[in-house]
Amino acid sequence: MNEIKELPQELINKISAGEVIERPSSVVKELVENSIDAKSSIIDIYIRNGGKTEIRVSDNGVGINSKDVKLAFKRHATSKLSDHNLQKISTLGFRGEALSSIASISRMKIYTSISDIADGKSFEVNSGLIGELKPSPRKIGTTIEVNELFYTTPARLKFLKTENYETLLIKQCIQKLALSNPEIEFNFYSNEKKIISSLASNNPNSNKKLEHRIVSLFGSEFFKNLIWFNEKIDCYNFYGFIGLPTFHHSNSAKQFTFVNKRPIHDRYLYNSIKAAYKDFLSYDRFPQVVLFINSPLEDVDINVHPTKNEVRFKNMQNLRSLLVRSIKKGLESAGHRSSTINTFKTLDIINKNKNNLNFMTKKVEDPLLSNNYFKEANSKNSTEEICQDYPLGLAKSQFHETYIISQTKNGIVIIDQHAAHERIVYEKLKKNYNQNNLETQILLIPEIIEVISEELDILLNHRDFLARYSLLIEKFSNESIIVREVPLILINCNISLLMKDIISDLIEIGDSQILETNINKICSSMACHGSIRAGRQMYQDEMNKLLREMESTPFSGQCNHGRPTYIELNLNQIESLFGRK
Amino acid sequence: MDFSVSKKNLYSCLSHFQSVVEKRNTIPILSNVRIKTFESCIEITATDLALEISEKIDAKINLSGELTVPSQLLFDIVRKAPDNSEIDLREEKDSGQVFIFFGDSKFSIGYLSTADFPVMENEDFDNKMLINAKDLSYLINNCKFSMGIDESRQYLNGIYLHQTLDNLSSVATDGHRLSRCQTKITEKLNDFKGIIIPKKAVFEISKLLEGFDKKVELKISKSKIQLSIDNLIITSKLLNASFPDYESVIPKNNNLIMKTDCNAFSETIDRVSTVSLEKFRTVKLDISNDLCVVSSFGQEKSAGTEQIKVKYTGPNININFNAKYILDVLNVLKAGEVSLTFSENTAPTILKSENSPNSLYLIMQMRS
Repeated sequence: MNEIKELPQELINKISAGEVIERPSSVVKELVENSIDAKSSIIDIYIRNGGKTEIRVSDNGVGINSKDVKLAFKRHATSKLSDHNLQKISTLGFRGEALSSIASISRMKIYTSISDIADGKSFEVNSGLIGELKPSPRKIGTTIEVNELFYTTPARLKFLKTENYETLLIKQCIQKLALSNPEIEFNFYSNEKKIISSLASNNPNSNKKLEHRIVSLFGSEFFKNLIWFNEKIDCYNFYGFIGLPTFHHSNSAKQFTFVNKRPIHDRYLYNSIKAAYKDFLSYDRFPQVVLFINSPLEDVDINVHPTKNEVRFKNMQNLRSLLVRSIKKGLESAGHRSSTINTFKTLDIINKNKNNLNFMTKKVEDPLLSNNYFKEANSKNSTEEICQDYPLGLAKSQFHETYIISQTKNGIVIIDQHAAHERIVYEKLKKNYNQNNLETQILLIPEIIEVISEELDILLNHRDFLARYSLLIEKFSNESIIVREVPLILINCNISLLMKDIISDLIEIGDSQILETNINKICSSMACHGSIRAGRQMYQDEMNKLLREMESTPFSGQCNHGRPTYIELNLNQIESLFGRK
Repeated sequence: MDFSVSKKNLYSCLSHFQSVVEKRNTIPILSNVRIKTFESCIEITATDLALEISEKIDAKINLSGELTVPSQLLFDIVRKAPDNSEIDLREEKDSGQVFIFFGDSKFSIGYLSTADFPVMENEDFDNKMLINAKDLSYLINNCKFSMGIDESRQYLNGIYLHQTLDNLSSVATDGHRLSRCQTKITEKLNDFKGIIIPKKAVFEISKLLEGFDKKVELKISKSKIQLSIDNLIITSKLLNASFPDYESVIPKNNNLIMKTDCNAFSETIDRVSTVSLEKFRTVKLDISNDLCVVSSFGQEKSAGTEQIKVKYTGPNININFNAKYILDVLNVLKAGEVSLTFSENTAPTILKSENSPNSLYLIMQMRS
């Protein structure tokens, strides 16, 4: 039989490195977080070959004291957890694992100085063994070079992806850290090429600071489709930029969430964001957000996983409902705003067609522009001036009996009449429904639904929640419930299927929007029938009325599935199409 | 196969089949009807696997045989034939076509052999009885509107037919309301547990009984019901579910009785409920001494209200209903005096009429 032996420290470090350091981007994350914790104001990151050959992070932080050097590379050694208090963690790192982990699987070089006077030191660390300290003058701060990552663990090296992909992951990692630290300057170079260069913003306003950072990382187009929101509820502060519902992606890559300024990748948070957008987006589309949550330090536990990507909240359910509420409130402020991305799609199409001159000439002769088909509105309208102050402008005409064109102060707007009206009717129906307390049909023959006993407990615990939606349940036996009353609007639904869905929601996320979703679905189909269709001729007054209603209706910028209800082209864009600018 | 038949007979026969044959089918032969010759008649059969109808009509047979042809196409051709024409159907085995002749017209349709045509197995029917078409029609038509649509509770999707003492009773419910109709029968049924007739069969039987006033033969087995109406036989599988003990939901202690004219009440409710959303029409009844105020509320501050004279003594009652449920009942009761019996708690309300003493309707109130 084999003896039980204690593993040598070197092996322990390699094992733990497997958890903390998964790929080059993890090294970047750990090193940049160290730099941030060291109160740096400029952080430069250089990589070669996707970080596989070299990663270098250089900062102007406080530096490492030469007497602490050896200690820094020991496992669970850290300067950040001073008072042995795991309940209140304010620094990004605290486990004391990063340097020792990286050191055990690579060759490192460290240059550090704690003052601008020439007292800098440099030393090498090879697979965990610390070399001799040599004097090496530098300004205050630390530079850490990581070479030949994973050379001691060839198995992991094999699992790395292509250089491009690893570079992308590193870029995303830096973007996240940069978003949460707008007061620090970030520069990122890959194979000597500048990828990110984002200056620090001195603006005292946190909203402007973040705006500056977002524009420099993702460009101004991305920013134009975001709405600022800032809500303080209970002990939480939610703020950041949330995307317009018409600005959506096929994945959650551009959902950035931060808890106490720490980038977090958490399923619960993503689910909550999704829930907040539920009414505006189809289920397979993802909104874009840069969302910060500030919570009292003692209410969150970040010591869940060595990579610190996940958090646990003391009261997740409460947080979730507060978050959903505040995002919705933020979205409401957007009113009818629609995403500019659609404008660019339109311009793209026109620009493509421009190359084909024959086609363009034909287009000009098209009946579209001839007076017979172009149902021209009163061209000399005395109210024109006034109307142009409206965000959606004054309706000029309708074409193909489906779209309305309106003129605004500095451009034109094309509106899909059915989509726009449907949303207005839908919002009205919902409002009306919520005002007229939910009417209830008492069941003549109550429905008995079989559940397992755990589900039974959960349902009974949420009886009040269900009763708020006029769904009245009682315990029938140890393994079944009885439904006594259902909301009138849902009488034709399959109640047992509905209950099963509610149960799985309650188990998974501790809350359920199924009822609301079902009610909204019915409102939505009623709205579809109750709204004007494509193909109906509209008079100018009708069109203008529709525009005014869109302006005053929340969420009227998109239909119920996240499609835009209108597209705006401004004069500059039109002029550039004609080569005037 | 070769026969001739009058357009009138063939057309009226085929029209009985159109709603049985499913328009969209994964099994092509189910869109077909089977035609089979007998000595001096032909038999046409259609099925959707759960419901089968076959009917015999007189014909002059020149050559016997059997085949299946697309139901819709045959029906459309026959429909457009001149009214008093004789229609000739002739099979041509070599080309696999049926030729249809009338007047100067000639049509051809490809046919399929009868080998794959699904036929319901013959069954031993334990119970047989003759019943007046009128009585059966009453049992079905006066309660079918209460049937439900429910995937999880199959028993709601049909009419429950069963024996109570010397009555044959039909019951339908959608979980919110219930209808029960009864008719006296003289024949003794042996060991009849009660059956649930599925919705599609209910509608077909109701249609076939229309305008027929002779006796029909009703046969019932554990899994099927068969009805012979004149030359037509309709066979349907039964819903395999057990009907709940509905007797227990009929309240015994409702003692607040309101009586009023059926037509007037129906018109009042219809008028007042105009203001509420079409899909979910709610009416509120405020009943005091000999007066009932019917009111309804809709979107954007709209409301409607109307008073109607009633016979009522007792404490004041406020009660809400789905307007559709009341209108459905008043619709089948048609005329005369209707009585609504309430209770002081949330027990269902009973609706009855002197004109049809054998019908009983229950409606569960709404809470708002």
